[in-house]
Amino acid sequence: MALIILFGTPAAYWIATRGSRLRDLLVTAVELPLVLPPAVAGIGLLAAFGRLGLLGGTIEALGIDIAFTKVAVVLAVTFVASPFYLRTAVAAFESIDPTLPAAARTLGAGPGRVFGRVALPLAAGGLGAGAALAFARGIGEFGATIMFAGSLQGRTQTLSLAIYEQFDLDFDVALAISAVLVVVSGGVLLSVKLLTRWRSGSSTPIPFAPSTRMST
Amino acid sequence: MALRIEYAHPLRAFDANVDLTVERGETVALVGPSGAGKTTTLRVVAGLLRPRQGRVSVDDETWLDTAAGIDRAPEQRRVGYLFQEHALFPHLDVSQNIRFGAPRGTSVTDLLERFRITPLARARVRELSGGERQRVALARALARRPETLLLDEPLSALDAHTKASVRAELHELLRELGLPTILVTHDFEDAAALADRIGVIVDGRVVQEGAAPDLVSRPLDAFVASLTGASLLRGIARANGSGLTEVVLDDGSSAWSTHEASGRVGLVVYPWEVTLGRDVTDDSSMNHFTGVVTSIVPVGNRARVRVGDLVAEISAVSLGRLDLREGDTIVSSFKATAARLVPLA
Repeated sequence: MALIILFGTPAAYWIATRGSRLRDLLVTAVELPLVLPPAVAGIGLLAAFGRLGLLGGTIEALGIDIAFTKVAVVLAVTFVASPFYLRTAVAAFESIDPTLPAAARTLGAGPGRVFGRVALPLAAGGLGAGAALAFARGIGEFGATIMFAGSLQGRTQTLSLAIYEQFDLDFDVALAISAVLVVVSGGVLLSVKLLTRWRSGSSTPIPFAPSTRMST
Repeated sequence: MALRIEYAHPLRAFDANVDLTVERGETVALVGPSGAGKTTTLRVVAGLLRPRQGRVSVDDETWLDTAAGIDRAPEQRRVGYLFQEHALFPHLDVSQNIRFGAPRGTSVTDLLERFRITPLARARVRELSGGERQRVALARALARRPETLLLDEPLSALDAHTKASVRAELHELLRELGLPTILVTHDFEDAAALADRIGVIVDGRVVQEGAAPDLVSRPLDAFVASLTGASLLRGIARANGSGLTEVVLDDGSSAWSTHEASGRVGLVVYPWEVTLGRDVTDDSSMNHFTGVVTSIVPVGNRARVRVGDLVAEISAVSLGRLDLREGDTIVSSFKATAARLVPLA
């Protein structure tokens, strides 16, 4: 999750500020994991990072084994969930009135300061919503994880995988884990709603609210 | 301190080609229809748009020279840019907005006081009225200690009531600052009130440049004439033996002018030179047109009365005396000396 936000935010900003043709191309690339069946994503990751995969040999030579480890879980979840964050983040950055960054530039702010002090705070609501979506997708990730990381208890078993396993063994345990996930997901959704409401209440203009007090 | 701009840049339907010098303490207004290249000029100066070819310099400091490969980033040009919708940061309060561009050691308190917005220091942008936004935006632009001021439609976001007082304040401020200033507006009256010199820009070119009275008395073409508020009657001019020019208007009637011209012309007459009467008067006016009053718009102690293609500006007192109503038939008159002729394309 932290990975997605850490790399996704600057990447989304970069995409949002590119020319239209390059932007379309990048967005398509970003959206690919969205339309890919999870099983295909899992196979793809195996083919790339697996022991016999494209990059597998190189990585193995460095003494790192990725497939069927915790790293594999992170990779699989990141691969599948990141488009949710990136898409929302690109949209959030693009919805910023372009005169605001321009005004910041004329006020002496370099590109870095424009990103940190203008673009980031203005897009914060959208970024939060995107993070929640990505989290929700990541927590439920199943297909790619089981293909690429397996379901090794205590090592690569995610909650969703645990549910599947317990479903055959002990239905009550599966139910209990599901209940935990319901609570966690609900909590995430609620906190995002509260966060965006608090933000819009204090800073972002609310659409349809009178923007000026006209003295008539 | 003088600001020199010279650039060529392709816009949608034409190439903008502007060459302009603004002296220290001088305000130049760029007036023209929307899409003529007014805002483009400001963006080129601020560095927000890199023209295909051009130069921008303030004194001996070059900000842009495409031929020499110089193009300073916007944050390295000291411009005070007042955006059309003010572009205040909605996530910051008033004093944070002003502090944004201020160099270290700037007293935001002084600026707040100077623009009489001290009570608004902690206010959010969306709580401000149009006039207040304007003052915050100006304070923010000046906190940067700019070397030149760029104002994009500074009065268009204001209602008519606020506009008059803001215009007066702005005029005072511009004189006080003494910076080379470019003001962009589509309103000739605003330009005349605020600027020392007016450049009429059409299709990316400055077609006429001069002080407001010059543009009014000697409009180069029909566009400049209509921009300055004149009425325009179209017709064919031919010299008449009497030393006057007769203009056969498109509706078949004749008008007389002391100006010389021939061929297809526009007859330009200003509202304050048109008199109205119930009957054709036996005075020195040579031009009399009978028509129906289509609109009466009160403007302060005056009223603008539209009769056919002509607009007459008369005092509110005269309006009452004539007891004019929309739909009345009335005679409008003007002297041949007041009828300027401009060539029509």
